Amino acid sequence: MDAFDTLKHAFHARLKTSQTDQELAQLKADYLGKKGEVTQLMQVMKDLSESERPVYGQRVNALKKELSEALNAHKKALEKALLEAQLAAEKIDVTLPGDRVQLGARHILSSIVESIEDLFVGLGYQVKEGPEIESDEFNFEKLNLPKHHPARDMQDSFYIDPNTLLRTHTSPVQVRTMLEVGGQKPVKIICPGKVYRRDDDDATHSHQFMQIEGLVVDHHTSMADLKGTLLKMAQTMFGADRTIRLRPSYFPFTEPSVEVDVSCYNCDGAGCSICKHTGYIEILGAGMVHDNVLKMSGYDPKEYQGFAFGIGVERIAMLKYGIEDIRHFYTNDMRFLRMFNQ
Amino acid sequence: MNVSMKWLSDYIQSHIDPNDLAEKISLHAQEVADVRPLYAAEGLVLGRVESTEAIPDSKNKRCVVTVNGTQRTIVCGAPNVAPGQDVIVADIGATLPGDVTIQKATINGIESAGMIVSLSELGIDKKYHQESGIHVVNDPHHDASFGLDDTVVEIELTPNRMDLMSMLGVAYEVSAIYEVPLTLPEVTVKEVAKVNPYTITSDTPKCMAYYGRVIENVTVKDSPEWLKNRLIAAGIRPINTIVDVTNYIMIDLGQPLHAFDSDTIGTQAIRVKTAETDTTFQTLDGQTRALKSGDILITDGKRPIALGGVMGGLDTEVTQSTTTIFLESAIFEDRQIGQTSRRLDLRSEASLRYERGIAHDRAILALNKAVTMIQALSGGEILKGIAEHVQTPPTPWTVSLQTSRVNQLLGTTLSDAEIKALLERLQLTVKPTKETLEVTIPPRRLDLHTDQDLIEEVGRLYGYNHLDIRLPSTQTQGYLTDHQKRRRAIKSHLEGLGFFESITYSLTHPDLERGFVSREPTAVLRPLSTDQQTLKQTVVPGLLEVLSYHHARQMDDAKIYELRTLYWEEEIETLGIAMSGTSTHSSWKPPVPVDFYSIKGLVQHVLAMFNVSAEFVASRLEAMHPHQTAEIRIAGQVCGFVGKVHPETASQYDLKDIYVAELYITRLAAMSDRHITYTPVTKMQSVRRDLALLVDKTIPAGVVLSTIKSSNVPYLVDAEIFDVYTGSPLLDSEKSLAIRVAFNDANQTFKTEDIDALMDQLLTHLKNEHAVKLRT
Repeated sequence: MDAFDTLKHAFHARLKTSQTDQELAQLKADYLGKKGEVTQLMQVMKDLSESERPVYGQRVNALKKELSEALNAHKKALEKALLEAQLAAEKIDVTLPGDRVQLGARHILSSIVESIEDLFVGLGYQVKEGPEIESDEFNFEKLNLPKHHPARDMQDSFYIDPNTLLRTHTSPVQVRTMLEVGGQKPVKIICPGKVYRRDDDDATHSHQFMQIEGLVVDHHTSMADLKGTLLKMAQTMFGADRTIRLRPSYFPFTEPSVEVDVSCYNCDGAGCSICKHTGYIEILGAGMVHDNVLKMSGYDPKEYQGFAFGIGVERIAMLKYGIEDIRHFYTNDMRFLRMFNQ
Repeated sequence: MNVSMKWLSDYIQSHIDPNDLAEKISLHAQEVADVRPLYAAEGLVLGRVESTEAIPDSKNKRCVVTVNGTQRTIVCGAPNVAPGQDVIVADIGATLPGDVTIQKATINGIESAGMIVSLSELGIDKKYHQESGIHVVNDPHHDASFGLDDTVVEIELTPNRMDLMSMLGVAYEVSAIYEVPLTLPEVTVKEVAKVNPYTITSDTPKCMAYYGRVIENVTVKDSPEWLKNRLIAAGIRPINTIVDVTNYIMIDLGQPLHAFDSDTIGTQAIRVKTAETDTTFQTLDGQTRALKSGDILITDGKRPIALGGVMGGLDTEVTQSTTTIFLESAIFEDRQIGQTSRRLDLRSEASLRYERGIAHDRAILALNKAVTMIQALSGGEILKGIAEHVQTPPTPWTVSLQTSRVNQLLGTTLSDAEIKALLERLQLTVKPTKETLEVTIPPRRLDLHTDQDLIEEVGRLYGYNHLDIRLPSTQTQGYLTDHQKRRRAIKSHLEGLGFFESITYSLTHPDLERGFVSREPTAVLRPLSTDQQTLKQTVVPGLLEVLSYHHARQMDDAKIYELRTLYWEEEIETLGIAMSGTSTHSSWKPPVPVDFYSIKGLVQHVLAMFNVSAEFVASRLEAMHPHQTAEIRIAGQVCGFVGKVHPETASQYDLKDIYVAELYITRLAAMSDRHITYTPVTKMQSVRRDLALLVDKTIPAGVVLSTIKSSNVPYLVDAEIFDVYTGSPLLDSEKSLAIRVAFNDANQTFKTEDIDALMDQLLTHLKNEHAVKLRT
């Protein structure tokens, strides 16, 4: 065993027991420093012959490299162990539950309104809004419901004064829009919003509810156009396989007037308890705008004609989801609202 | 309108299935509410009681009954069963209402083959009869119209189709829908030589026509079975032959009639006039009615005998002992009948028909048919002639219809001939001219006055289900406005942050709003309840009710919002937010309760969506915490408030620690600047410096921050509070604010001396404004 081996042996023995940065630094100084053991080996050079010197020098350098690498490797191992100890101390129970992501929800009535808005925006309609406190003129008179008309009993509306009331439908927004364009341009709008009728609240009646009305006025708007539009709406709301059926009805502001039934989404028209064994469910009222309404809104009925329809949002939600009581919509129970989140 | 199929067959002889009729009526005319058998029973037969025999120790009787020529024994418990009666027998196998099936039974040891039934057992409501025992049939030989197997189709009438308030009107419609012949009624009156002595005059234009006939020596009695059955089918209670005939004719032809006991009329000169205010009249129900000017009165020239079109008088009522009838068939003004009947709460089948409008050309037909029927049922002689007063004789009118307009409105391609044929099915006279179809409308169709009215007739008879399916060709751009899009965005953001949208009633009780607003509320005139008398001026109480509902159900972690209109002088769109519970959501980690700053953060987020900068000014609202409430102001205008609900207010809802905010979206939208400007992202690093200030405790941090932001110190781009401290070793009057400020310039990096100079400038400004000290 020569001096090289002895030195190496001693180095590794110390390296093995070195556990701190400080010990390693000292070890490095003791062997690889200016006055370290390996540097000391170079002192022997001057006693060697010319021919021996390069070989010896190479040997010292090789040793230096070897020790230096061993030192670094040991240092890295130490650091790794330290980090692992630290991470071990950070151990958690991964089976404990995570923080809840608490999302809220859009009210089901808003969701339905928005989906209908989206359908009609896609068909080129604009969404028009208007005041909920309306004049008798806009709510009734301009819609062909003059005073003393049987369909406008004082009993049925919330009046604020003899000429002002809570709107009973969103039709006044249609009147306002038609007047805005001055009877000169086509109109293609839907009007969503809250409306009020003087009904006692029970499972199927509400003194306040949401309505969406639609109106198209142009030179050639026909009842066939109305039919196609309503079919599209019924299919959007109740499924692509649905068909519709139009039955004669009466509204003062449209003529012809129709009630619109959709083929039952439950039994597909075969007859079940939901459709009361008729195969159809009534969903909305519609018709061709009455000449008097067009005239009062500034249109010449010889030049322009149009269709209008009105749909109750609560009714759609109740049919679509089988909700049994209209009052649920106004209770705002979070458990109820959450059910319709998509 | 209840349509008896048997009755309908008087006019339409073609066989029509009631269910098919219901479907066709609903597709072409009016909504059908119900199709039902008149007697909800099957297996009924007529029988004659031959003999009855008491059964010992029982109230039952052993009856021998002949059914279809064969005798059988039936045990019957009704006290009124007697030999010689014609009765209705529920045969073996018959079904009665309430899932009753008749089976052969042994009663009191006697085998009983069937059951003799009462009207109640047949499902006839007590309002149509007063019988307690079995039903005794009074005319078993009129079997053709007996009615045991009649079916009723109940049609719901819309106000425009009052022509369908008569069987004849329905028959016109059925004839048009099915394209089958209609047999119109024909009447031959057998008069005696004695002349009707009555004269009629009228002082009022509200009586368009008045006709009267007299029939002497009648015997008032019980109506035959077929007549009673038809009235019951129509929903009318049978009384006696005279009353029943007037009701029958009203249903049959739509013309209300009134029968007077002629002997009780003081004169034979009927005079129609309008009432004077503050007079009274005793109607036949025994009530004394206060009259008003305008009510139509039928008088005998001296005293009133009937309230025209509404109700007859008690004095002149037909009784069992009446022998001479004066029968009125008149046409009164619709509006006046409506007013009088509504005011006196006397709405009847007759007043309803007058009010909605009756056919003006059936008054004489109705009168003649009625006296003929009375004669047939009650005997008597019809005096010669009709007493009459005619103000406005019924005349048809003409409507011009253009084929092009029909097709344009319906989206059809019908020819002139097709349209003509459709209208002729309704028995309208159609005369084609060069450009139009001239359609003559008879007075029975008061709803047809314009071409649009006729287009509806064409459309519904043609069938709406035969119309094409198209979409409007109108080329328009569909879009949501910026505001509509932003409204949806606000909702989505809040929902993403855990909030549930609420929709509440707009009507409320003003007391609930006290302390949140101090505006004069708008009240509705006739509220349905005191809780719903005024329109909302604040969103918060409604949200508190929702939170209270959840609290009562152990859901205290409730976060809700509502975007709704408030009704001030103008309508203002408002966002209300309410929250309680915790802002973290873990089942096992310590909860962090929500506080003022949780909700203020939300408010600031919404404000940022409008790109407006707001001031939060400590303020007071009675219903809110006096020291944790801020008013939100933008450019000096109040745009809402945010804070903690006053514990006393909260406790009224059984709540505590509730944070709410109200933001006036209409105002925010008006001030919103959504203009987007691009500036390149700076490549230079910002320099940050911390500043520890001692300031007077009463100076709000926000004020210090805005002083910094408005200091005009160059390159100052941001200032943020990162610590607030009060307490030892500071003086009671002091607080410490730690503020981090940032400097940036796109064109340079700063040297330390530059920043020192800028900080000195800032500090000097702060010292001048708020007498701050640097904390050392």
